[in-house]
Amino acid sequence: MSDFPSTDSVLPPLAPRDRSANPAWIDPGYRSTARRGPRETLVAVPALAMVVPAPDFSDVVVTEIDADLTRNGRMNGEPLGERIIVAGRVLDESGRPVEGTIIELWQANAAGRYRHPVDDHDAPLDPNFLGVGRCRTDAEGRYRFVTIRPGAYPWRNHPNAWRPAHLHFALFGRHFADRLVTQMYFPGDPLLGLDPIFLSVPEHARDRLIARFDLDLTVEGYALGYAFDFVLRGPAATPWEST
Amino acid sequence: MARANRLGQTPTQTVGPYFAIGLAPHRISLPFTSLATEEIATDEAEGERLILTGQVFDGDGVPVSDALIEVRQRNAQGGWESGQGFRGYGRAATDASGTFSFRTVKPAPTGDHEAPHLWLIIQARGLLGPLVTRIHFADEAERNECDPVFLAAPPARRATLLAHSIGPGRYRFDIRLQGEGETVFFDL
Ligand SMILES: [Fe+3]
Repeated sequence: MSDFPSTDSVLPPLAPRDRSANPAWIDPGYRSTARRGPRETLVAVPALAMVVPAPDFSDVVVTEIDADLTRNGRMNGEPLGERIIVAGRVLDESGRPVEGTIIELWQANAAGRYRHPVDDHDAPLDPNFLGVGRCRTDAEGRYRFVTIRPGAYPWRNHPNAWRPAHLHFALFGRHFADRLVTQMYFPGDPLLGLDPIFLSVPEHARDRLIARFDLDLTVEGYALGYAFDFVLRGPAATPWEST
Repeated sequence: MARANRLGQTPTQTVGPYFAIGLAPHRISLPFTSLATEEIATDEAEGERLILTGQVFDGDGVPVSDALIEVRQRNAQGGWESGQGFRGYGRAATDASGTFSFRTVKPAPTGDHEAPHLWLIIQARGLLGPLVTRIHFADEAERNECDPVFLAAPPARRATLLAHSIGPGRYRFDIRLQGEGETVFFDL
């Protein structure tokens, strides 16, 4: 059909985002959404919009130290706090692993402070901790980060508002529109039930954002392990998969 | 629509105000290499050089100083391939005035009646997921009128998808998250 070179033909169309498992644009509990969330209905797109490929990071070198936040920001010693391992798989919704995709991670330090000029929380910065990491999935879609368990931190959303401990993650699948920016939380955190950002997710899908303590990932004498899988949209279901 | 035998998609959350640590460390002088920058194409890339600038506004018309804009586009030959200075992907974080800027080359139209365009994903504190839109060029009116994605937008709102020339090789594209002139966001 097209006389122009293009990779369109090799990429199957992207599955739709499951809006029933995602937050609404305007959430009464999360104040900043009131003037930032769109009010118009999202516009439906023709099929050709479902085959935009994700950026090509094949030439980007990702090293082991990029995925170890306890080492990639050292100045004169080890970062303070509780070492943890966070690992799992990136899958699409049909269960297929997403191979060779880059996961980006950013977070607060053990005291709940970000190394960012806008963060004015009165908690110490850690000279040995940047709070940024990067990892590439292997052939089975597996990833693994070593980091420091982040602290809770206050924010100004409502009186005495505290964010539960969380890690920020960003990833693409094969498609540009399969963009996933999310937050991973820790099991048993008493702040979860009070956090409008976590609670913005419809109830039935909230547990998808909570990591699971995993003794198999835990390294004896070194760090507790947490398991967390990402499920991207991936290719749309083929007709024989749906009924 | 059937969701039987499908795993549950991971829900989105906001990028929050501190995303530059992870997604644009060069913007805050963090000693960690950025995966992508405002340079979608370098001077080595083939094609017509473009500088794309704009501002992001909230529903009160206040500039959004903590937005992340990601761009994906075809090269000057109409393909998605990167190489020879062309990355086809860029990232910008807005500054205190809500301004972002990209350096690139103009994408070619495609044989599927697509006018030259760039895909954008916008995220910010106060946005609980990614917003997807497209930049079309106001001076490509004839091609835009045949473009199936441009035409998918309601006629009265199509102008929000247009970048306007502000000088040789310079275009302006503002993003309104909400309210009057709200940018068209696609269900993607
Ligand atoms: Fe955070």
